[in-house]
Amino acid sequence: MDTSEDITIIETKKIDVNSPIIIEGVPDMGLVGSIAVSHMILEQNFEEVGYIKSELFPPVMVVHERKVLNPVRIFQKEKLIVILSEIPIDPKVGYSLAKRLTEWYKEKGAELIISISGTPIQERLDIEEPEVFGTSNNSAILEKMEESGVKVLEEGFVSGFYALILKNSIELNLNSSILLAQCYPSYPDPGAGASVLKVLNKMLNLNVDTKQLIDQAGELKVNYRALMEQTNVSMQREPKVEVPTMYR
Amino acid sequence: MIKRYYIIKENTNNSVRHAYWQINYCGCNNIEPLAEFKDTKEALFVALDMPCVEKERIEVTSEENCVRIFAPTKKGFCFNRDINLPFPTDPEKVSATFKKGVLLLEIPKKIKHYKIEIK
Repeated sequence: MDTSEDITIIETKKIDVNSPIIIEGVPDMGLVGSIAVSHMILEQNFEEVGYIKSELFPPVMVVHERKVLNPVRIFQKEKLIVILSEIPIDPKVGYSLAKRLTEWYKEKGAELIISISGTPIQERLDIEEPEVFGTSNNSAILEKMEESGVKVLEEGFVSGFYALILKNSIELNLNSSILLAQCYPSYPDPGAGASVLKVLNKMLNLNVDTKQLIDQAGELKVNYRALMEQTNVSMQREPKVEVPTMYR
Repeated sequence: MIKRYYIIKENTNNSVRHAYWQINYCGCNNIEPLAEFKDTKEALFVALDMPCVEKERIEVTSEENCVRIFAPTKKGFCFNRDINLPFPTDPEKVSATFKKGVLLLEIPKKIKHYKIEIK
């Protein structure tokens, strides 16, 4: 059953930009995407231009600085459109949301989609600066990623919400990519968020200052603790992916 | 309502130790730290994420079937977690390290081996 019609994208301000670049930050491993995207929005003064509503989402509203806000919001600054979710996306909802979002990206004529996530590593405590891995359905973007310090995945697999974004992007002939920073398996990881932002600075000629993410990592981990806890529960509901033997 | 009490104790070497004691009236200011567990044949390894905590104020107490962790943060709440063990441990052999806001515990398993006499 197609439930993507149950998801509505509301543009509170007209989003009229040619060939936008979309950046997605949805809670998953280490909350890397959520942390990186939130920091980018604040640091670069993005403007809130819309939100996504659905009866498939949990009944949650977010309060920031006394303002009541939708948990899944859209921001824009010049050519960049950013999707920020402050609720974990349940795997069942993920199919519909990924379908609806990629259709919307197509309508907007998106030049590139960048999904930000983490790849858990047990030795994270011993790593000062996490490495960023990436994949894309476009070879030119892969080259650009490599030039920006990304280690391109040669073999492997991606799973979860962003895998659906990538899959739908291929079907809709959209350029899509995923950036995965080494992160803690179950804790929020501002350091991993900083690593991804450094890559984005190079890839997209941005100037996002990541010092605050490192200096205030403790406070950020406290602030994101509840979302991480909910996300860990949500991720446990994801169907277990059996790794093909050839990759073991 | 959050209320904290400090109990000042005198140690045997006459140095004064500030023991942190908290009475939790509302039940919401004690938070369980996020934890990762790794179970092996010899030991249980636990990593607890405890940001905004000073190493000197972490209290880890160990019993044969339970390890208790308590630490006040600089943010006005405390991390508190009791890890009930499904196996006995030697309390004095439990070790703890605090690194980059993560408390690492190694809880060795007390393994008893009996030689069974065959009749």
